[in-house]
Amino acid sequence: MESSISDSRMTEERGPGPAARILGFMDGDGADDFRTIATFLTLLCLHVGLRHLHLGLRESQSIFLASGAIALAVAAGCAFESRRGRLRWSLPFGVGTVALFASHKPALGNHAALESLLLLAVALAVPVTAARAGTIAALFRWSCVLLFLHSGMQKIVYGAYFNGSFLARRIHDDRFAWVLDLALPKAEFAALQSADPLGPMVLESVGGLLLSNAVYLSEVGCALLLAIPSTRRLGLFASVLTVIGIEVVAREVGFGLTFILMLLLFRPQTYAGRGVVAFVIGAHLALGVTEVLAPGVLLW
Amino acid sequence: MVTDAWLQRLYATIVVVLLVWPVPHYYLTDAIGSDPWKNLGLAMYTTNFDVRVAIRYRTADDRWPRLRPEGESFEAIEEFVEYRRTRGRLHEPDDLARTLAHALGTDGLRIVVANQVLDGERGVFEIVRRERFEYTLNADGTLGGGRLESPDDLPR
Repeated sequence: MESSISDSRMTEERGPGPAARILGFMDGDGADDFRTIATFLTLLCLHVGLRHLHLGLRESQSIFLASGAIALAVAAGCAFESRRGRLRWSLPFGVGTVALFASHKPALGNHAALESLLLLAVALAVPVTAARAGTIAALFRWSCVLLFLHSGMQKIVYGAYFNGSFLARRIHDDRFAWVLDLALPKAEFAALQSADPLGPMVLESVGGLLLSNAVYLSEVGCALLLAIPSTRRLGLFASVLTVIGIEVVAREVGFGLTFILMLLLFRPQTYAGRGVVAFVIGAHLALGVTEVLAPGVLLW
Repeated sequence: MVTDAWLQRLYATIVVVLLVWPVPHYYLTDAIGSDPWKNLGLAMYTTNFDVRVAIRYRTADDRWPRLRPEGESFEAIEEFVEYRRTRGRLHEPDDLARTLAHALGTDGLRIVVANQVLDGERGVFEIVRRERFEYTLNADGTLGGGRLESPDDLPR
């Protein structure tokens, strides 16, 4: 049950249309079979559902409990329907409802909005069949490239990483302070800690400037490696390492998990094994245990 | 139900829109004074941005002390700031004023809302836009007043 994006829009007289060419650029070389995408969507919905339940419990907001329960129901529906070779009923209203709930308040921010938009895009693809598996996978692969690209490019545009001014202003943020302590000379670290917040704050040491500039360079680099077909294998490796590196500092593990699930679509075979299922469940168990033992240390 | 070809066109359009989205997003953010992280900024940790709110309220003896937010007023301000980060100038503090007027039992409020952004080159976290509002709670419970002047864009 393999699919190829280019095939479905190819005619004998003409080559593939622009849409097929755009998506075909992120083709999975025929490895995007239905079970792969069904497993990916099941795990994504499972992850989103657990994340929403956590938000609901932490914020005492029933709307998240409801959206979490719906997302988990969608995950169960995906798992059940995947045996029939198509996802038909479980996705549209379920995912749409999650998206609606998740985006009802600006405080929810970017991660929920991203998840909701991607799931909404999948809902539009219902019924998800073998023929559409490659199209869905291509959209998610493009999303990985664009997230990295824009994350790096916008850091360049706002210009707060060339001299480390963004990181310098995070000196009192526990998530960033430890890595700045490692990268900066002790005198610079101490000077930043006691600096007047109304005055200029930048990094001056080689270590600090390397750390700061490595952030956007690694993001743009990963985007390029993932975009170029011949470097995608290296790009996947570098990207997973970069996401882990970012989340070791930012601790937004919930988003990191979403991103890694998306990145693993660059190696669709991953979804054929049980390892990725164990990874998602294990990550959530670890998140849950951490939340009980040290609330607020890891962010979702 | 969409066809395979229609789905491909839709997804390709999404890819193209996402590809160019940061450009209009940049100008939208600048125009309405919102947080660059918000409104599907597609990138976080780009720069520092904050919304500052200063409030004074009229007492029975016509003094205007500065509000020290706590309890209901603190939550109301936090919610306003969250919306303001996303909607920028499009979100005026009318609801905040109404909530505070009832919570404080006052009929007059002066609110200053300021955007604080990081000048990456100089490393200074500075106020770049300040707006002033004055509200009166009428006898019938309705809110009067609003923005006092056009937004005050300070030179960078």
